[in-house]
Order: sequence, then C-alpha cells, then structure tokens
Amino acid sequence: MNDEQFQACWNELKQSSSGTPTINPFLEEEMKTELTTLGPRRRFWRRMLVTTACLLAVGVLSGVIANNIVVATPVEQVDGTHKEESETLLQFIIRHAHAHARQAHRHFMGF
Amino acid sequence: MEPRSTKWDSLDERELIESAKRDPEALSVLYRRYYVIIHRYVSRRVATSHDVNDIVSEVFLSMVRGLPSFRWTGAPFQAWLFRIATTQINRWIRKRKWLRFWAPFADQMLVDTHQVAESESVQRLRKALLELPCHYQDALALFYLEDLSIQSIAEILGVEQGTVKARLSRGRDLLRAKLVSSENKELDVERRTIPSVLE
Repeated sequence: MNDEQFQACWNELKQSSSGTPTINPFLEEEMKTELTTLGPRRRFWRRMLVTTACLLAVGVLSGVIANNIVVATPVEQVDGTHKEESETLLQFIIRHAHAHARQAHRHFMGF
Repeated sequence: MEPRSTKWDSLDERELIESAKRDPEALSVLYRRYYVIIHRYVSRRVATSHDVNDIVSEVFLSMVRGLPSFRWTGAPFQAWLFRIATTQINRWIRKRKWLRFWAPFADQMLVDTHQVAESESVQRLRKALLELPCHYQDALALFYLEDLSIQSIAEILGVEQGTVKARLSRGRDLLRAKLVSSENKELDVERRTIPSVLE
C-alpha cells in the first residue's frame, strides 16, 4: 500500500463522519444539574474533611500535652496508709476512664 | 443560536470557561461550542452510534466535574477536551476487548445502521486501527482525522513531540501491515469461493 492509497483511506474515514451532529438537549440539562449540585457536594466534603482534620489535631495535641504533665495520686497501701505515686495526666485519665467504663458495665450488665 | 447566548458570545474562551465554572448558561454555551468537534472526533474513532453518544456524554460530564480544577495555561480548551475524549475512547476500547474475550460473537450481533452505511475500505481501516495499541491509535487518529499539528498532539497526549513522531511512524507501519494482511485474507476467501460458485 503506497502513501496515496493510505491517505485516501484516511480521507474516506474522515468524510464518512463529517456530518453535523444534533445537539443533545438531555445531556445539556444533565450537565447543568451536575454543575448546580457539584458545588454544594464539594463544599460538604471539604468541610467534613476540615472538621475531621481539626478534631484529629486537637486530640493528638491534647494527648501530647497530657503525656507531659505529671500528677501525684494517693494510692492506698496494704496497711491502710496512703502513699503518693506519680503518673502522667494521660495515664490518670485513661485509668479513670477505664474504671468508670468497668463500673458502668457492671451496673448495666450485672457482672 | 438562541438569544440568551449573545451575552456569552462576546466573551473570549478564558472568560467563558471562568463563567462556566459557576453559571449553567455559560456552561451551555461552552457545550454547544465544542459539541460538534468532540462528537465528530468520537464518531470517527468509534463505529457504533450508541457507543458514540455514551462516550460523548461521558466526556462532557467529565468536563463539568473537572472544570473547577481547570487552570488556564494558554493552551486551547479544545486540547483539554480532546484529552478527556481520548481517555474515554481508550477506556471503551479496553472494555470492548474485555467483552470480546468473554462474548466473542457479541460484536456481530450489534449491527448498527451507522456502521452498515460505511464502505468496505473504511470498515477495514477502522478495524485495523482498533487492533493497534491505544497509544498508536491516539496519535494516528489525532493526526490524520483531526489534522492536528505534532505540537497540539503532544499537548493533548501529554508527551514530547519526538514521542508523537515516533508513535506516528511506528503506528503507520503497523497499520499498513494490518491493512495489507486483511486485504490478502479477503482475496484468499474470494479465490476459494469463486471456483465453488462456478462448479
């Protein structure tokens, strides 16, 4: 196949689809709907992302701060006396949260 | 053109795109401006009219979704649309290959009026083109069917101009070989059938 024949094939293919297509009004409407719903949808997800990131940042920062504060807790000894033991605020909070959770479980579940 | 469009017709391409990011009417004008070009490009590459309509719809919906992140770089907007269309066509080709693998006779059942109206040489060229790897098809179709320059094709495909030239040269050779082999196959079939008809 020489260059001319090759080019003629392409020209024929080009000519076969050279008519003017009619505009699709349904697609036009669908595009408009997509545009009007796109903005609020994107805004919602962007806000959701920012809120999640902020909450995560606050949680991590609080954890870091609480891990650096040392508190003294009185712990009851076997002989009935109290002795002060030091722990970090984070450990204190986790210990108390755990104790409360255990207490609530016992209250509602009975064991 | 409807009277509502006159307000937008005076705007240049960049202003129209910026307006289309917010205004549905501007979007409508943008759609009407590029619909014919994109439809023609897709219908030259894809044979069946229902597939053409599906791909064109997908191209313009992708355009709407991508418009907010579109940044004007000075390159024609048409190039961006051609890029979306090329991606969608390549997706269709991959899907078609996958379908043909699972249902080899499905293509023969879907005879389309658009396809029937085509001459034999056009059908042969289209078939040979579809058998080439996608990157050769893209370069050849944009060069021969859309008459785009090497620079424009490089912008659309996101490659260097040298790569486009190499793809064109290699693609041309492959396509020629495929066309010649399909012609030979048809001649063989004719040679076998003619004596049996004469008998």
